[in-house]
Amino acid sequence: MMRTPSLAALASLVATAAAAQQNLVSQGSIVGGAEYRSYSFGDNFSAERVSQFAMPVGFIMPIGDRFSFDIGTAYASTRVDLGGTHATYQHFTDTQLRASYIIGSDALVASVMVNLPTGEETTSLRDFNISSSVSSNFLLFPVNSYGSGFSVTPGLAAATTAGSWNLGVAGSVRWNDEFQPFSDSGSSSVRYQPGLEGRFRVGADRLVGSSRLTLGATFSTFGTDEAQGGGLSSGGRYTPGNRFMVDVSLVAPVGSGSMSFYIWDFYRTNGESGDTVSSSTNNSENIFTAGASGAFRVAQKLVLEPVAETRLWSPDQGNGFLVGGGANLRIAVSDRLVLVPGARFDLGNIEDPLGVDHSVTGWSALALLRVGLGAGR
Amino acid sequence: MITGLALDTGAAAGRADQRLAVPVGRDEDQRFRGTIFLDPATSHGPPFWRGTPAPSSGQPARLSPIYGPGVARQFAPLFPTPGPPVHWVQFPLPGVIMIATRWIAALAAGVSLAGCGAGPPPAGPAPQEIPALEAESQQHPGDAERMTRLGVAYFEAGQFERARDVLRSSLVINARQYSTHVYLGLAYEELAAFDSARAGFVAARELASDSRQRDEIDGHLNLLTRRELQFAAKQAIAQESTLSTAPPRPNTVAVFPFRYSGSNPDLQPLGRGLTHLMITDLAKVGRLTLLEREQVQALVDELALSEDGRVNPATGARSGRLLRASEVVQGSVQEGANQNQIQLDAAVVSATNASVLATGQAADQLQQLFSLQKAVLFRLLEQLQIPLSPAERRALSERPTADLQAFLAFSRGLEAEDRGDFEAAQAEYRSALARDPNFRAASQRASTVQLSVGAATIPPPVLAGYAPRTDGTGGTQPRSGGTGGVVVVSGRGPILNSGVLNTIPSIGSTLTNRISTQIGPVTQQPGTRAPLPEATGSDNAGSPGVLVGTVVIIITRP
Repeated sequence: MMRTPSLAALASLVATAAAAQQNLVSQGSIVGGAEYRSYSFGDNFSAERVSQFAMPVGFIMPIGDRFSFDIGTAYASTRVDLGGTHATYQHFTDTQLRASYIIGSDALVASVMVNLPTGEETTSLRDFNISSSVSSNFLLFPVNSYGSGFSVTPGLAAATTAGSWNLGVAGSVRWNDEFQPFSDSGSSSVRYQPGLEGRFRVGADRLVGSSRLTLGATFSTFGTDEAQGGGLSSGGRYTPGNRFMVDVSLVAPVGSGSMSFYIWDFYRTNGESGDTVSSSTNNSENIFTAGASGAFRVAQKLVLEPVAETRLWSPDQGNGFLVGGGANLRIAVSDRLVLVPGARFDLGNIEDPLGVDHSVTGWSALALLRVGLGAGR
Repeated sequence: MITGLALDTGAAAGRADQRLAVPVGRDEDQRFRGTIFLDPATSHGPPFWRGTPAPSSGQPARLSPIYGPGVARQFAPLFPTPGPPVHWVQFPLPGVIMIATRWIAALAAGVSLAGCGAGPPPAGPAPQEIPALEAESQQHPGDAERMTRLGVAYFEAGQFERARDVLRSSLVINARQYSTHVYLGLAYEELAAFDSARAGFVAARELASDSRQRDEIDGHLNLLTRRELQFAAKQAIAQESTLSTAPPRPNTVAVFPFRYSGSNPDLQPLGRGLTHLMITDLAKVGRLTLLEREQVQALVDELALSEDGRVNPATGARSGRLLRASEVVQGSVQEGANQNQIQLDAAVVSATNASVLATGQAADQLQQLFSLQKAVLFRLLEQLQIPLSPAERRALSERPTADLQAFLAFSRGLEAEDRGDFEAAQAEYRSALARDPNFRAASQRASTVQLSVGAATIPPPVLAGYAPRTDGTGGTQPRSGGTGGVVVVSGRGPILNSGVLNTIPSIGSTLTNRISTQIGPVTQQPGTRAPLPEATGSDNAGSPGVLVGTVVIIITRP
């Protein structure tokens, strides 16, 4: 599925501060486009290059004052180059349908998201290896998972005002159905049941002068994944480590535009595997990111959005960093049509678990399009 | 409307009675200058008022109760602990206001604080210092600073002509005095010499020491424009007999406020919004000159036109003549039988003879409001036989926003701005922007009104740099961001969305989020867990399981 939350959630898909009964979504729209991202690695890495071309599409619509829904999926092609050969895996991802409803007159929103398994949850071992090469939390591939079975995620979010602060709290629980991950003859009977996932977030923002300061913290915890069948005669278990994410951002008007400065830190604790006796999987990791982005109107219908960012990766063994920059152009082709082309370049390094350094060079290009459909009410 | 308000204490001002004094600058008609005294000894009773009406009037002040929150913010930094807002209400006795009883104790605490030396330092020269300052100025005729202090004292005493003359003399000696230019501007303003006042403030702006001072001056210039329009409206009415015979300025159009007739009070502000739309659109037609909405509104307010009167061609023509417009656009929004149905009517009336030159009408669902407005607009232009170039036609087809709720918030903002409630206006514009960040008119109005919010409560000594700013951050009012087109908004909405997006992310919302206009960070964070890649260790960027040919199932039993 698409890599998800962005701090930019603060400003778009906008809702009003004044009254919660106004819809979360201001207008219906169809969005889509294409995005290409490639990372080339230095000598002796397990891949010379991993690249992905993704074409996401989504539809979002408000209905009345309280209800809104969105649906989205993507088609992605992932290619891995190694030793003069390459392998490609391409398929649709899962489709996600989410609905939100504003309850009462206070700022309380109930949402439910259904993950429909239109992606290929069952693949050959070879395809799994290719598709999972983009699952890293450190690298920035647009699609990090092609399919993970049917799931339902209900949740609640609330916000209130306390003095000059706006405070928010949100939580969700994700229930996953089991699925058959592999199609190869030796492992086709394996059934995989991901554990329950719970997420909890607190956030706050306020104006500081003419700028907005935003603070947020998200905690995710997971039940135990279970595998049955295949060679796993007695089954297998994996308990994912908890995830912590904290983010701080400051958005300030600058001249005719705005600048945003942000930092966020993602930390995942070690998971555990085993059944009666668990052992650490040593897959903890920490990703620290700091960056600045801007939005400057350079013409009446043209906004330039530069970004510069660095991220530091600290897994249980090894480490890595990326320093990158790029820019998007936001072109208001008409009242209803917005086109966003953009490009980005990253340089960095990955030290593998054996302590060997590998350079990383990444670049990406994208073209996204949004067609507005009106207020939908 | 209170346009100047400061808080000092009896002790700080040299008074021995230990009463808390709130000098009130002036109301919108310049009829009130005085001081509200709050006696801690009678903290449960109402404060009493002492002061003299301004020389121009013998009438009591009209103090609006709607300035409570703003005033509270102005006061809040002076008190040791934050408290509930001050509620200004009109007191039964003429010219007297009272502050809610629960605040009296807090105000008394302010006195104690000042008594300990923690209160604000004294402001500019007080009127009682005039004799001493006059003597000093005579002894040091070349001392520009002393001369300015004398001018300020004259100003504070309400002797504006004297203040003007002395301040001008001071500037002859030294033209690079920020405070002197400010007070000279203020003196001119009091004397209704608005052009000279503007020149004074512009000169001060050039000498401002920082962007904040410049913002404060810009904000005051906004207020000056409002006062000038109000003054001009009064003048126009006073000179109606002369203006009635003056020829109108050709192709000059005044759009009068659209009247709403219906049962839904939420739609009432639409009249303001539609007026704004009409003016914005008609201004795109090259051969027409549009009068500012605020100018027309000032006349309407001054004439106290009844709702019905605004759509009466004769009244419209009369108003048009007062504005020296050749044509007047009048219109109405009517609720249909179905509450979701509305009808838009508009007419162009000749200001010369009150004849109706063009009419337009359209009806449809409320959500088609912008289409209705365009339909009426093109109909009027067609009947007026105004040829449109392709570029003009294209420009006229543009819509300010696709979001009706955002437009309603914008309309409420205009309404609040018209009644001088800049804080409410700012909140509405921000609300509109929160719904539609591309709503440029809302962004522009928010930028402008943001300056006015602070300016409305800056006392002259602070504006002139004589007294320190009194808020916790070293300023007199919320910092304006007003130099550009972007206004950063904060509210429950963004935080609510952030919560939803971070706990229940979906492809559609994430994608929309990426392509929506962003005023905020743009970064990709780790998304939803990919269960199997994580369980198999394939999500490790340092050792991805690519092309290895085997999947390491790490979840088998040990």
